[in-house]
Amino acid sequence: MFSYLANPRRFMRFSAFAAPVFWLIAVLCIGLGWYQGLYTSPAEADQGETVRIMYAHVPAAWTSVIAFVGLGVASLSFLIWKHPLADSAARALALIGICMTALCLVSGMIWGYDDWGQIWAWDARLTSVLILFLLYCGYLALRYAFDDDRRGAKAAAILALIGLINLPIIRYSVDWWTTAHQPSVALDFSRDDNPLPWSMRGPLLLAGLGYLAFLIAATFSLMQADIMERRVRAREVRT
Amino acid sequence: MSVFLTQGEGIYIAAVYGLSALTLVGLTGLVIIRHQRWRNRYRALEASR
Repeated sequence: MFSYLANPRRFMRFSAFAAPVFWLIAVLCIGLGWYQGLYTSPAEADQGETVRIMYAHVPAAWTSVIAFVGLGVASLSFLIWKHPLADSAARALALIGICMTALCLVSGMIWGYDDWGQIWAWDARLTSVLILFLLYCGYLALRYAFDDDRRGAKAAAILALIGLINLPIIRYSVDWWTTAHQPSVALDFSRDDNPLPWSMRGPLLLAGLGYLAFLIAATFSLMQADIMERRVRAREVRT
Repeated sequence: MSVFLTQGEGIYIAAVYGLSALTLVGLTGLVIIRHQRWRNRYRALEASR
């Protein structure tokens, strides 16, 4: 699959079909997930109506982590094969990832202010997500810090690979340490006594799917733009 | 729909959803502008060949 799509011409053909499909899935799933989250899902016993923040906050958190996984894979591919499409994917994922991480942090602060009475706590989950945000900042700063584009891409790719260490810390921080943050139960399908009922998990998963489709669609569209830019610039140099 | 927007906590929910919508729409706009810009230049170049 990767080697098939590594050809820019094939990628353009594939993404011309796939990107609109993912845009459509994103609009439908986010729209439906948010509608259900705001209108039809129940309020929670402890938090009351504020629990509805979850349907916007948690999908942003998932997307920020998934984007970094993609960034790591793209960076590894770039370091091994020096393929410009891998660098292009990494840059697109970093841009969307940093916005999603910022959104996750800010929405978490608003939720925390209402729920805990403070916008920030130096708790393991919050701190590890803040480190993820700083990693995205570092990646983008390094990527554009060099006059030689390839050196910038290589340095940023190495940072992205090092940053992958942070992902299991984010995932398991709520299990390894005592934190103020709620445990991750939405994706735990093995528990019969899951504290999050399906009436809440359904809209959450739907919104999460929408955010994931948004990430894929936006990445494909940015990569398409990148390929066209390279072609235009290459032809301008020749003439 | 419940009456949560009339309660004090409604402002927090509105702020989070407003920010999220703004981020998603903003990113989509940025992607579309960049895509259109390079597609137009690429097509103009193709047409001039």
